[in-house]
Amino acid sequence: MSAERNPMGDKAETRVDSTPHSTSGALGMKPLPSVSDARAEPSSLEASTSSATAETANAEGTAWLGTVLGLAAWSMFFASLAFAVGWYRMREPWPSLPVSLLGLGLTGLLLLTGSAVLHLGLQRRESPWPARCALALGLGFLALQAMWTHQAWWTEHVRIPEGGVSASAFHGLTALHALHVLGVTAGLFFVCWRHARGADVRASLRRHVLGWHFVTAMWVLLFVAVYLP
Amino acid sequence: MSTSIEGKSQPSSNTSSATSARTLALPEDASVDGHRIDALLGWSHRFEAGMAALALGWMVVAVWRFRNAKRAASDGGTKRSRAWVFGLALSTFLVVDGALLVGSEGYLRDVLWNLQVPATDPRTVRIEINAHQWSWEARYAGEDNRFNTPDDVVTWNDLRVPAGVPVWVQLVSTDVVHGFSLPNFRVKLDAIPGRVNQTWFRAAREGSWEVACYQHCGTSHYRMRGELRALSQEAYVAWLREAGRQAVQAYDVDDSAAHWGWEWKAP
Amino acid sequence: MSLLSLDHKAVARRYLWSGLGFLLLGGLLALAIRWQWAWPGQPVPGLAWALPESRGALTPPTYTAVFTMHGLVMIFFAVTPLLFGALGHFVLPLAIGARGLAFPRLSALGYWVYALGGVLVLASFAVRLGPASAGWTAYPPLSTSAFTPGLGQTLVTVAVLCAGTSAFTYGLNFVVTVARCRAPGMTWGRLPLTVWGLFFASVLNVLFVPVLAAATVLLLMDRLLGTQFFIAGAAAVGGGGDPVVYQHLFWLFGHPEVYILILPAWGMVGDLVAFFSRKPAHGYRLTAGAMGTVSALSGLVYAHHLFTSGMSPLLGRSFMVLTLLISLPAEVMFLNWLMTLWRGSVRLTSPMLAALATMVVFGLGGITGLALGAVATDVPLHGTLWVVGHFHLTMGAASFLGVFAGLYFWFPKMFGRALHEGLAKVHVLSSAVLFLGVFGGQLAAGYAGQLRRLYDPYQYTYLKHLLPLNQWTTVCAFLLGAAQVVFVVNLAWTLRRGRAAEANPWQVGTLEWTCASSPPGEGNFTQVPVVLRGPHALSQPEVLERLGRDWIGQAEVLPGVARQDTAEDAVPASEGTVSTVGRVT
Repeated sequence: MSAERNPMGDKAETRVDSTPHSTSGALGMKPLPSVSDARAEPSSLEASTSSATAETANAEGTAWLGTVLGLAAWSMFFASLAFAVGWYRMREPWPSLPVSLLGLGLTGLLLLTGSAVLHLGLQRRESPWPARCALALGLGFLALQAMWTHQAWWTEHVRIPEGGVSASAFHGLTALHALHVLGVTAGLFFVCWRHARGADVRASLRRHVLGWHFVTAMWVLLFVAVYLP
Repeated sequence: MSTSIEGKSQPSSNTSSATSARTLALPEDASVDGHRIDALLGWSHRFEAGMAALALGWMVVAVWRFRNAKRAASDGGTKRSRAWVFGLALSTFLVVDGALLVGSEGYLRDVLWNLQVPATDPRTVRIEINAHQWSWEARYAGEDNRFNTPDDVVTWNDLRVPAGVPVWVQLVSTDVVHGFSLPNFRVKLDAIPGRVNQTWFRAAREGSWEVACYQHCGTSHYRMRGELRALSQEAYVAWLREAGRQAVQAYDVDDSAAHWGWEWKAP
Repeated sequence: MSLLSLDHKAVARRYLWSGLGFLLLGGLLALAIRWQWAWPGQPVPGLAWALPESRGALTPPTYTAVFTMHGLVMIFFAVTPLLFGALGHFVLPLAIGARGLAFPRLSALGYWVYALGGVLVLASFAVRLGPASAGWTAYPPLSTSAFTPGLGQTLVTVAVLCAGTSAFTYGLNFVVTVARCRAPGMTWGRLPLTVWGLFFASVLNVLFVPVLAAATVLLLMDRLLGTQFFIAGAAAVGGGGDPVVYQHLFWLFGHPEVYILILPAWGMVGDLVAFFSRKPAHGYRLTAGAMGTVSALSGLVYAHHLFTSGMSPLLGRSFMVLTLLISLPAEVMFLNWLMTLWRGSVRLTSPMLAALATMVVFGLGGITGLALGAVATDVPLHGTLWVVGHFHLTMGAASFLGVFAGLYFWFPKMFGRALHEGLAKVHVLSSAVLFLGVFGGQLAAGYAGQLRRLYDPYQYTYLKHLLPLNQWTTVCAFLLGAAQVVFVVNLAWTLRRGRAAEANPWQVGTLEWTCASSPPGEGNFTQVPVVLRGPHALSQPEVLERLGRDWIGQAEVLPGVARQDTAEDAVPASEGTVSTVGRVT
């Protein structure tokens, strides 16, 4: 919970919220709290006093910083996995995956498209369509990844434990990444749902979009480390 | 620091080190090169004692002298005092850490990571060791000097080496990670499934010592004890020849599990 | 406060009780190990109900479970929650002038995830094949289901993930809180050293717990799903993985973890030594910088745990140099503490005694690490009780005494009551002396060659003569356990009938003491303080002159000074400038 009067907070706020769409939006926003903070400001839909707006903006800046730092740090999880994979592959080359590389790439394209859609969508104020579109793309990604894994397992016999460490990495890391995508997609779903019920979700949406960018970037890492021959 | 006073070499005695080893001393050093480590450890203790005395002494004096003093200084250090602190830390660091670094590097370059010595010495004895839960299986190449042939001598928890010549060890494990240790030769090496690690040593004299496991490997980890006997050259050769002869007789071509040896890995 | 409260002080209290409970469990497990080394195979008094077949004696499989769980419980469920959960959650917001943590719901969630891990750990003791038994480090292949089957090891592996998740969330919470929630005027240069310690440790938590998560998740997949990440050798199918990868990932977390466990204690020692020498900490910036340098280097030294694993000489040499390098900032910091005492007015209160004791055990422990950092001297000591003595002195004794320094110091603020000072001093001094006895005994035994994790060291001939040493060490250990009763008695009695504490019994200037009541109410401060100076404004001439005391609050207005400005130093620059008063960044 941020202090009531925090001159540095405002400075930090400006620094962090440097993306063009947010600062102007902040002042015109309804002062509903969309932060994960328990001491929520009173949920009033009326225009607030400037100090309450500053408080909300402050809290949102804090939530944003938490999201940025948390995701940046969590990339160490995937970096460690990539380190392990790199180690194995340098020790001994892996057989190439029997699953279509193009197929896997196009599946990832869904995430990349989602990133673009969401990024553009953040600039358009109240439209729910970018988020809903991303939701569909996320579910599509998961479905396709499940399909490739299914195909690899049953048709191409890339199995655990017979496939050794390369099969373990393919299935294991795909699954771990997919769990993250599932989490982000679920979060996005709840944002859409709250928006449909009339809540102001702009700040929350921004954070979830960052999460989407995160899983997209981690997919690129997964692709390069595990899928690419 | 100093090694124990025991020096008798009784090939079958198990009590040689027990009775005379002093509690606060390293295990007896029976290797040719281990004294370098022991000397470096000796220096590290002198440094440790010095630093501990300085720090503890300073603390005691300060507490004694300034306990409930009427006035305390009001500054958190001056440029000079800070520089002095940094300088003291830096010089201690350079002296102590520097000595350890240089001393250690000498040993690493000349002994531990210098496999050229055993590789180029014609008298070198090569041993392949397969660590199991919970025993040490050792394989000698036999008279044909090739591993995994019928005349290989395979022993359990029983290493025999000639004194004074390099013994080159390559180490594997097929189950879990073990730790091959010869406490009296300053040897430690992990046995990791899927890779071949190597090290070497030289026994300074004949005698009987122990092999120990230092990496937790299951319930009987504590009992993974072997014996290492350093013999005279003649005794060693005689043993190897006789054991090789028996191995050829006992060789079973169908016992694939027993043929775990590998072609010697280049250093 | 209710169990559902989101107040950081309530969360801190939950961690305190859980942490102390697990500390007791971990301590009892340690005593079981010590019993076995002193009286091998003899029935442990009071354990007959748990080990009926052996009439209370430890058996080899039980022994492996005992030392495994001792390490896991102590690191993840006792020391960490006490340092970060209890002291960190309580002190951090107060010390920076915030009304709470940045993310209160996250902090409450973090506790419950940790508690879930604790439940799993306790449950694992009831499993038929026993709890985890592959060492706290859980090296594969031993820790995979091929060699340690059963639910116990799996439950504990999941419990470690829970503890890690909790650590990640409060690490993030602390970092963001310090970055965003400082009171006006609380610049980075005016933070108490305790906050610096917690901050750096939290950065490490956030960066390196995910690495532990990766290693643990891969291990869990090997255990439950049949993957082959860490299985090689005979148990491998289809071209196995490499057990060494786990070691690299684990220690990439594991080494920063030991700094995580000591940084808050370092910070506390820095503050306490200043407070109870009644003068500013010597070289505040240098100390904060040294803590930061150690943190930065911590991830770069990790492979000194793998010196015997067959690493390439290049890697081995690099890690040796980096490891030795890390002793420099530590030495700088230690010397700064010693210089703080000099020309101060030393008050030997219980927190001060605990801080000095922390210095002694940490100094000794750190020194014994030097021999481990150079590869050649590491060879005879690797895997012996020298290593165990080293990390118990630095991680066990120093962190433990640091926890008690913090508890004795902040107890009046946390509970509004004053602990009995005499009992506290007895507890600190006896613990410190006995720590030295126990861990010094370990150092000696390790130097003589006693290897770790041995159910019966004496079946090695070269270790037979160590029985008397081990018995003596065990006696010290039991006495150490008994000495903790003094603390428990003090705690219980004070909570029940202790006298009320003043708002600022230690007469220091940090915000929790000068701007909040004991205990603080909801929201911590009646109004958010505006900070004017650093945390160690002690024995300042103007204060002595105008207020007649040797301390002044960080947010206290000094009467008669023409201009009170949050943007500039209020103290004129001169020879001997207080280096703790920072400028706005």
